[in-house]
Amino acid sequence: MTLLEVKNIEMQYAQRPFMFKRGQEAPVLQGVTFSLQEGECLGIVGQSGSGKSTLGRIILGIERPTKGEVLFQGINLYETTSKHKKIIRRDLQAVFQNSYHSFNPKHTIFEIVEEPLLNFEQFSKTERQHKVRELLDCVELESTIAQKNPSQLSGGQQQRVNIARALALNPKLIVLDEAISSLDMILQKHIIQLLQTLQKDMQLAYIFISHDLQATRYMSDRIVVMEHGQLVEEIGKDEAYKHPASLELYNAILPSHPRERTKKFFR
Amino acid sequence: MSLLRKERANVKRLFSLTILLVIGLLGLFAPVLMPHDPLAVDISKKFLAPSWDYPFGTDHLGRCVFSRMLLAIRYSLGSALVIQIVAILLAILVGAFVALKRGIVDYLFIRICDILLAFPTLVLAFGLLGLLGPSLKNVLIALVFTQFIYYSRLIRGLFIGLNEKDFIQAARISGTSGIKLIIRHYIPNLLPPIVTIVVLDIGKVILEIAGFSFIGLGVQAPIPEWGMMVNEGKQYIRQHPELMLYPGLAIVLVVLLLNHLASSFKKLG
Ligand SMILES: Nc1ncnc2c1ncn2[C@@H]1O[C@H](COP(=O)(O)OP(=O)(O)OP(=O)(O)O)[C@@H](O)[C@H]1O
Ligand SMILES: [Mg+2]
Repeated sequence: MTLLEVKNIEMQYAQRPFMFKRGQEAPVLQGVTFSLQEGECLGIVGQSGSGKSTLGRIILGIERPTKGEVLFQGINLYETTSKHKKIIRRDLQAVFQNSYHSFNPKHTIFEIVEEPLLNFEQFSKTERQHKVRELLDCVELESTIAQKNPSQLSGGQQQRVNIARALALNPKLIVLDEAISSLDMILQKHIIQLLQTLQKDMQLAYIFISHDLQATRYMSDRIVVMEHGQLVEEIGKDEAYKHPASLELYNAILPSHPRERTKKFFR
Repeated sequence: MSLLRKERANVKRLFSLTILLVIGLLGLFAPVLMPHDPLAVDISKKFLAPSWDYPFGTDHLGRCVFSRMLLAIRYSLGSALVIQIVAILLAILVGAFVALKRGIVDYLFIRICDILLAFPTLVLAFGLLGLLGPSLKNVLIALVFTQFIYYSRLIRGLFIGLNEKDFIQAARISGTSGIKLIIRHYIPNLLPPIVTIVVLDIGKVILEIAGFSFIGLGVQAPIPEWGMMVNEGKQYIRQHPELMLYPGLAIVLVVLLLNHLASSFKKLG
């Protein structure tokens, strides 16, 4: 079943809100259209500044696009009653690119992970404590971390707290914006495996935004490539990249052996 | 920020806070502490020098200056405190509403604020007092109004500064919205600047109340208020300058302490 439909999205940041719109800049996103099935993982790759995070925010319903619509389970995110929105909210979660900034600096890790539970579940305090411990355990974090502040965590720990928070409500779709890029290889592998298990067990769908082609390839059922705010190519799991923009990204991967590097990089 | 500076800001804060607290308690328990009825007129006792019975002496109507000074704490510091608290609470409600709503509501709000803020607050308050007539109650209303406009604009700006922050968007995604969002996320992160400005402005408001009373638009005789007492004392400035000195020094002391306190808040962040 189709979970998400993104139709003809255009995004242009206005210099001035309301009334005084000045100088037109090139749109950040243009004619972006794709759809996502339940339980599917869609990879989005593209150069820095190509509009991936912006697209992510639009899909999440927190930034209204200039044109186009986003349908989640058939409901338009930007034209819906607040009651519907609350239901959608639960099923549509996110891991932000910048983990540290996505935490309220005044909160402890416990308060951060607990927040979605407070809003959607009728849990008692002990139930919440139990659930938070379970979630932290899921992303391989010690439960002693719960009383710390975000600034006392390493970048990788922050990212995992973010993932734990996104998992708290058993959503249907998680937008993962560079969600594992500051983890070491071993942890990356563990988290990817965890995400894939959840995907199977709970029919969870992902939008996996990354510049890491290998991780994306490993994670995704389908990959779309973005360039200057447009989708330029869509490939299946085992297909090769063809579009010049994709090849440029692909060729920029460092080969694992130094001997093979020289040719490509120092021509 | 170095530890030493933080330590010094802490000491500073404790110092000003303690003295202000003592003054506040003196005002609170004034009825018990006052040696005489501050309103009781006895012409035969006018201009008495300080004594055990009358610690600060008596004024031109033979009233106990010490008792009047104590009761005046309520009218000066007390009303300023009330004005500030009411104004900031209203401002948080309105400022938060427009900041979260944006669009046309916000636009109109800004225009109205701009027009009102174009007048100096005192002029605005004068205008209001002209409409309402002079009395303590109306001074309170006028000052709450002017402070409220100024603060709601300020709060709106602070809130909008946070609107785009990732953690606010993350909180929205976690399902937090409306009042809960404001209480859980905006307020805790904006508390230091809000507290600083509110504390700092208590001094300003005390001066304004005193100013209004001094020119006869505020607290009406025979109720004691520092600005009003300065006004009464000014006729006898040559013979008995201390009558102006007591309330004048009290104003200076409290305003300085409040500035001190506010600056320590700013440093601690
Ligand atoms: N709030 C904003 N206001 C104005 N312009 C913005 C805003 N957010 C993003 N942009 C612009 O949109 C473009 C795309 O940004 P976006 O963050 O979506 O890129 P990205 O593909 O996620 O890049 P990266 O891989 O570095 O994260 C950039 O040119 C950026 O300057
Ligand atoms: Mg990005």
